[in-house]
Amino acid sequence: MAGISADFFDGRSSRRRQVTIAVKDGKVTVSGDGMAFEVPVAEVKISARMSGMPRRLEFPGGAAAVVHDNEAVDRAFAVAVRKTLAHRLESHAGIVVAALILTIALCWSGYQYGVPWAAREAAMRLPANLESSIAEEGLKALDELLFRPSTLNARHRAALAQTFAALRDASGLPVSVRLELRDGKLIGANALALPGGIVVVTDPLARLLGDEDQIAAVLAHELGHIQHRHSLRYILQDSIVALAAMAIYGDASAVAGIAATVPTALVHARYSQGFEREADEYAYELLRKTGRSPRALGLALSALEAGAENGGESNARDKSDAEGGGVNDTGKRPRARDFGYLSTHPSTRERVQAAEAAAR
Amino acid sequence: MYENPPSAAASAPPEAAKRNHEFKFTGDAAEYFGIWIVNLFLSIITLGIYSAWAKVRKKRYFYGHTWVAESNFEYHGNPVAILKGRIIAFAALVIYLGSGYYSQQLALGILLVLSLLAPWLIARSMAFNAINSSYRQIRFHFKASYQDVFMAIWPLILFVCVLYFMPQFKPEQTRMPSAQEWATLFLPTVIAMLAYPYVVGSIKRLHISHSAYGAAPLTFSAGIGQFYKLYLAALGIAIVGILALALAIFVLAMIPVVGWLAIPFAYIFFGALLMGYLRARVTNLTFNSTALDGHVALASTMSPMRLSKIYFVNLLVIVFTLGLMIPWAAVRVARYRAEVLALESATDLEAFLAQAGREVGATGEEMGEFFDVDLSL
Ligand SMILES: [Zn+2]
Repeated sequence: MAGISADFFDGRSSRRRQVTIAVKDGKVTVSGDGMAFEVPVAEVKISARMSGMPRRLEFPGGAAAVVHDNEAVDRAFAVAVRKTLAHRLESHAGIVVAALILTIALCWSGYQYGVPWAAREAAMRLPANLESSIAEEGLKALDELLFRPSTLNARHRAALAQTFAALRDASGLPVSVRLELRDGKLIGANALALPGGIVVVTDPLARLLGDEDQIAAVLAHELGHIQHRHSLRYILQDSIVALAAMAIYGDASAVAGIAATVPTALVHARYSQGFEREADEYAYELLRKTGRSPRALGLALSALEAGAENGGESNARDKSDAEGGGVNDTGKRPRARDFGYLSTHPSTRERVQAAEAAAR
Repeated sequence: MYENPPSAAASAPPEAAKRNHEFKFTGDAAEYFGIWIVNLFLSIITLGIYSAWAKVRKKRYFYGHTWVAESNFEYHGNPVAILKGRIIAFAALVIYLGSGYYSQQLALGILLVLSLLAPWLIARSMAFNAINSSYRQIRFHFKASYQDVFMAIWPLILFVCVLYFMPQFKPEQTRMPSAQEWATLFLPTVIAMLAYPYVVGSIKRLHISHSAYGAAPLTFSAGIGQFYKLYLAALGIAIVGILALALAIFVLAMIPVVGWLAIPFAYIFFGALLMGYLRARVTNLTFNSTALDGHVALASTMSPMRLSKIYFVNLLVIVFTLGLMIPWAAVRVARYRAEVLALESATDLEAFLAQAGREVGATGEEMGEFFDVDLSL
């Protein structure tokens, strides 16, 4: 059998020698450039095959031969299939296409079902008091930043508290879940569910929705956010997506890192729609349980939108984010269609129709 | 086992005389795509565990396809060490993010502890990468103490300290913040901006001047001032670029649909321009200041415009293929980087290599008997 030509390095200097390698009777013979030696095949370590890169044969004592002809190495040394497995996968067109299709399918289904599922399972298993300190901190920060004490009269406040208590008791949520009333000029007619169980209702919202059933519908929706632990799930989902994007794109280069931020933003908006639907569905159930019609939620949404379009002051927008001072549209006077609400939530008309359907 | 010829120097010197040896990258986008997608798929179905093996294959590919003077580089990293490093990095990230959920102060405290550990981790990681890289069967080495690394990155640690010990300051609507409050608000940013060129330059210097190829030490001749000059120029470009970008967006916003759709391209264009400029200049400065044992110098002639163009096209293609063309983009950059890099040898390179590249035995610490990590993600 003809020898395999190779570059030989003795491992002590970086001098290159051109040699010929021959394998015969369990022995490897290296000869050329004024040197010759023999080693048992078993003592030669062969590097795993990869693309068209030359193969390295390592000899005891740190020397190595670099061979360009991969096929010749596999043949002469009868390299086990296992050792070339990764290379076979990577260079087989059919397997590459299959990996491509499966990867896209996995990413898509992970994004569609896997991430929400994992976040929900994790959130439901985490202790309930994990979030309560965040709620208190968050409310304190909001009080400093944009809330004023409520200016509703005592009778109105008592009525709201009563409605809330009835809903909470019907929902089976713990008594630690409470309602706070605030005058929040900058965020307009608004309701928030802080993680850990504080529902905040602003004065403009309480005034705009005179009907008790409609207020109850909004409160029930916010209780839905608390029941389903949406703020915690937001954080978990964002973290999972960010980690996954980092794992996939971060390996490439900083250039790809920039591109990785795009899907994260899209995903966030998409998941928030799912949460709003979930909170709405919870609200229908709770409204029925307390002898009201789910239609009340649709009416409340319509009233809020009408109020937003007339006033401009009142911004029908609810937030379930956990970030303490994270209400971000301070100072702006958005009309209802301009900002977050309609872009990140199912359209009001859609939600009104869903409420009507649930009422039937 | 085998007989080394009695004297390597005595044998006839190769005919190649004193000349430049250009680097060459022989990787191929289609071929690398196969490696990349199989890596990605296996990493997903093993919930990230295979990513350590994937990283080794990726590095082997890029090292193995980088050639100079008719030999290629080799990467020998052990995937298990990389997996360990990744688990540690992942745990640190989860602890940091999780504590941020409780309290910002606690998260900053954890960040402070991590940044005090950072010099040691950086030294370990650089040593790991060096010892696992070889050329012509001679390994690279890196050795630096905690203090060495600390002196290079101390502004970063100071930055975290300032964040941690700075009085918590919440803006209130009712009154303007006092001068002192303004100062504390901007102090971390000012520190970061002033220190950034220092940190980049001193990390490059640390990395290269503490490395060796076999027994031959690498030297680094650039001063920190040169990095400041470079970043100052980049700042100028950024200011002009932001003004131009603002103007462009203002104009584009007035053209319905077509103009609006063009706005993201303006952003990408600006990002690619700035990044291309910085990367090209930093790469040139770093390589052109690097020499091996005083005999062989590296020469990089990267053009900021060419690199910006490559980045711009890469970004566009990556965005429009949702990341599927990342392998193509990575190969393009690697090819260009190699294309403009050369070894300049004052004497005959082969003769020099035969002499200089003496292997020194790896110390136990280098072999990572104690703690083998690679944190370069
Ligand atoms: Zn909601």
